[in-house]
Amino acid sequence: MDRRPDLQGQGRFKRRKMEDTDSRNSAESDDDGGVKVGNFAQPTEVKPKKEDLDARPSRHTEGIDQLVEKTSKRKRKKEEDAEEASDPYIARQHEEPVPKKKELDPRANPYLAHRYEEPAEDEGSYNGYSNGYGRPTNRMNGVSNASSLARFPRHKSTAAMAKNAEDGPNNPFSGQPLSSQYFSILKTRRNLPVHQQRDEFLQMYQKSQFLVFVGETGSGKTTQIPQFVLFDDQPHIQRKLVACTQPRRVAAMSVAQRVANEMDVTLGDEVGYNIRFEDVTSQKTILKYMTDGMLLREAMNDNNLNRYSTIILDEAHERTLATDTLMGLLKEVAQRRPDLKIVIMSATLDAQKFQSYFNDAPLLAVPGRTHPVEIFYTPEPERDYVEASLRTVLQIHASEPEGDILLFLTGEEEIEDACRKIRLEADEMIREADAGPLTVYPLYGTLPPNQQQKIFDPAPPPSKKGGRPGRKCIVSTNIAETSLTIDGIVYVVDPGFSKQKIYNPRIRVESLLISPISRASAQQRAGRAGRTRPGKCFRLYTEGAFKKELIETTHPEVLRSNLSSTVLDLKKLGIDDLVHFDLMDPPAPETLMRALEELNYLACLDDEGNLTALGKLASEFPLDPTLAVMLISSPEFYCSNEVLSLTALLSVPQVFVRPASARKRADEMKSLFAHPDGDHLTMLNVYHAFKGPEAQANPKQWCHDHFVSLRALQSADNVRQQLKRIMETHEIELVSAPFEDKNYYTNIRRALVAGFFMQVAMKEGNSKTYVTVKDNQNVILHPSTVLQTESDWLLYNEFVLTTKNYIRTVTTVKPEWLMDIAPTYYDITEFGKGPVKSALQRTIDKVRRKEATKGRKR
Amino acid sequence: MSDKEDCSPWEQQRTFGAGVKRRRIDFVAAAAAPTQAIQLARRTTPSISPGDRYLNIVFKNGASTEDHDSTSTEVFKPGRSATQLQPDLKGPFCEICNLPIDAIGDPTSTVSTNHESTIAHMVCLTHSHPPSHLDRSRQGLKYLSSYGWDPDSRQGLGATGKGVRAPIKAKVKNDTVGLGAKTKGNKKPQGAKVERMDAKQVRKMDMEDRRKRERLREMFYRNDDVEKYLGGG
Repeated sequence: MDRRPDLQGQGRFKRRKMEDTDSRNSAESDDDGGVKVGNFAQPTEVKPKKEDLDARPSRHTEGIDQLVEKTSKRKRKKEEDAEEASDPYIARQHEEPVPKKKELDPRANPYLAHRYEEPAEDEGSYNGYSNGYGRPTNRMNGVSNASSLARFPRHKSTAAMAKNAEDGPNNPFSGQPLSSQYFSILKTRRNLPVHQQRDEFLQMYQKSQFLVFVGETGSGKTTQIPQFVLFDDQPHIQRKLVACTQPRRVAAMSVAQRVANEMDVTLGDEVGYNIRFEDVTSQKTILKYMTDGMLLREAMNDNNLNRYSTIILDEAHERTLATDTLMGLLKEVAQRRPDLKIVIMSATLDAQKFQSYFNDAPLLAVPGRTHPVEIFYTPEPERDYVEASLRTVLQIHASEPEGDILLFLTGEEEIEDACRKIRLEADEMIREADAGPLTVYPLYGTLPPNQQQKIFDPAPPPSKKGGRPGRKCIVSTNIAETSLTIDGIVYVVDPGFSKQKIYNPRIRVESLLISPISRASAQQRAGRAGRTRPGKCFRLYTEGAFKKELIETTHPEVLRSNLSSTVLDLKKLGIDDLVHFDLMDPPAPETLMRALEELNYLACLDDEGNLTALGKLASEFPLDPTLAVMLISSPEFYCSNEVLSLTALLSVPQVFVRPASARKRADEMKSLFAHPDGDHLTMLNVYHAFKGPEAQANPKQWCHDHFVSLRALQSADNVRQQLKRIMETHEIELVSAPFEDKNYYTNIRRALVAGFFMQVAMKEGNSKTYVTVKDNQNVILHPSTVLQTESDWLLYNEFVLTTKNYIRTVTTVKPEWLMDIAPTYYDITEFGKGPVKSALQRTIDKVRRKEATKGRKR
Repeated sequence: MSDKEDCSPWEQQRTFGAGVKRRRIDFVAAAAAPTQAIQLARRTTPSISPGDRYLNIVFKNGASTEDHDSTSTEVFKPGRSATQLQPDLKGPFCEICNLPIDAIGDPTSTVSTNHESTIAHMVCLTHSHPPSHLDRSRQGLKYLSSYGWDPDSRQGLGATGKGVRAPIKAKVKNDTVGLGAKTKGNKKPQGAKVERMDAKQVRKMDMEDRRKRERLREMFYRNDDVEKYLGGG
């Protein structure tokens, strides 16, 4: 294997192609880095004393700032690698002569700032944030002094004081004069239900470290509470931030935008957001919306979360894996940091559970603006819930007064199918029975955003003047249950099912299954009908079934998922005692054991369960450990560029599109890209073709023609860039073998084995079935595979549990590789008697024979 | 044994090796009933026969099945000192069920035997569970037990051990049957099942049918007078 330099030499062409895209990326990243340039160009780094601030006119400092920012921007454009060159002195010396005297003071030098930092900030800078966020600017302080916030006692303010500050005339945080738009929004804001209880909230917030806040959707908690906290907590004086976590990226983005408007600041300044692959914050930011996963990631480098003075966990009732982990972590952090305040916001009745979990924290409940909802059950169970739900929708359309309909179904296919059928039937009704027009919109997670946006369109007008009013019908998965709020819904149709992820640690299969919802979920669904006026909820099951067959609350994600990623995160967070880690719902021991074992086989944990170097590196990637390990070890196989693309492709939704109307054509197009060795390589071919000049000329058309999803490919591209950046910071080489090399694809397949060696199936005799290694599950190939020839050993990406057990996205591998690359997992003595063991034994014998003959020849 | 030497103060006693070995130790033959001391010694030695181990598991809290012939068998009783087993030392109340032992006991046999076989006593015994099915050699189990989790303790994880003990079961649903409705597969077939029989069974059934018919006919058409005439009656 000493051909490595040779390979690299030949691979120049290939690599150049990759680098082309890369240079574009790095240009972009420079752009991001530019924010830092701005940072350095602050007038003073030192935290001034309060008297100093009072003395200095605030307008003046502002002037400096604007100027400096302009300069730094210009500089950024001029110099590509501006970071070193952006000496704030040069910038200031000819732009701003006034504070010259100050500049001579070494304390003003930002590069020496660490010498003069106060102990409070020391902790922050220790975690590597000293030159970025959390760094107060004295502009901020100066402004706040001039503004109405100046005499705000921290943690002693009242609603009246805040009201005063909000009324202007200047923005209390940025010092700018407030716009008229601000005041019009302020008016609506003050009508929100939460606003009535601002004083009550402040008192409770000031009194205790934890606070549980319950407000139904529409109470305005997500946008208002963080602002209430800002006025009282004053993070800018503390050189800290207020964080508000959201389970979903889209929510974090849109709420941040809304709050920025409400506070009359630009998004990214005082209010920003931070999601997995996007960071829209600056040194000015005092309120940051972020995904819960992001905060967890920050906690890995900053175990005490020193950057934050208050952390608000929103939508805690959704109980995502990251929220649950974060809650467990915050409970520990709160003991170490008594100054940290934590607000838990939830939308449902489960509040007591949160309360007792957080050491009997005080509870504040704000009623939402809801109207009564009448609930109807069927007298008999329904034979077919899809058909029954369609009939119900049409029945409502025919006989109920005006108002939109929300129907809950389980999956994309079911929803699209239902939409089509409702449209057909509705057309007939309009023709025959003179019914009003009915527009139908699907809604599910993988729907493109512009189509998701359509659900907010108003219902269609009557087809003729004086005719019956039109209405819209939204057919949705359970995203419309809590996360998305659609006004105007009056009728809800609830068949009582949703798709839920369930993990079985015994056979290591994570599957999405249609399962009955919980009573809490049903309640939540019904509540959607009463947003604008009294509504009706039609449940397609009997009242008896509601009471007997539905469970109380939905199982939180932590009980339903593979925990290997979470365990790796926890280990990185420094939590070793996983047994007594105080999760709200601790997982089953078997699930945790399985996760530990998987990480051990992946060499992320050693035999004592300590994090290895590989494990530390793997935890840096926002990926499943399997994928992360595959990516990290890919340079050993001379194909890290390709594996990087593949990793990105595997972490986005399905690339291939197969519309019901053109299945045959779609399959033909897919066969164009097919690689005889399997689906992974086929996906890689698609990506390479997509990045080719022909496709890039008109990507939209190209994707449409080739039945691939433009959105999936674009997001794969985006993910690839982000992952590449992480690889570069950790100095993981990006290499490729030349395309002509006969081992080009073999290398990639071998690299796949390095991560996915635990997901391998072996053919059983002469039949079409396969059996998974170690777990001994009988599986068959998913019909979507491109694999034509039959192969003895397959590596699979996904195990799909339906009537038949399918393995999806497969690639052929060789047993020699398995034993070569993952010797501990494929230790023959560990296997029980069976076909797998004998097959492995045969392979060992074969290898031995080969070596023996080789030796003889010599 | 010379008493005189035994009673002498230790300073005057001869050191070991200075003719001590020449002093004989006397033994006496065993009496018919073993002395209490010997019995105690025998009882407290742990025996390792499988039967004992079973009892050890079943009666974890020290409850024991007192065997009828307590003197002849050796049973290891954990958690309970041997003296407590002696009938003369026992209190009038049972430790486990808090009932007076004599109340039900038969005066002629060993008191404890009868008491411990009563239902009142047995329902009070703590139930012991079979050990967990988990493979003890698993890496993950090793990690969890190193942090104090016991697979046999029937506890979950978490600060208070209140976590779920088993993973949630997945139930595959791939039809559109509504909630609460019975699927076709669950319904029992309504019509009579066709049974297949061999010739022997058919003959037997035929005979039975004929006998039944005959009996019926007899019941309907029998005439007491005729029977009297025939001399049956």
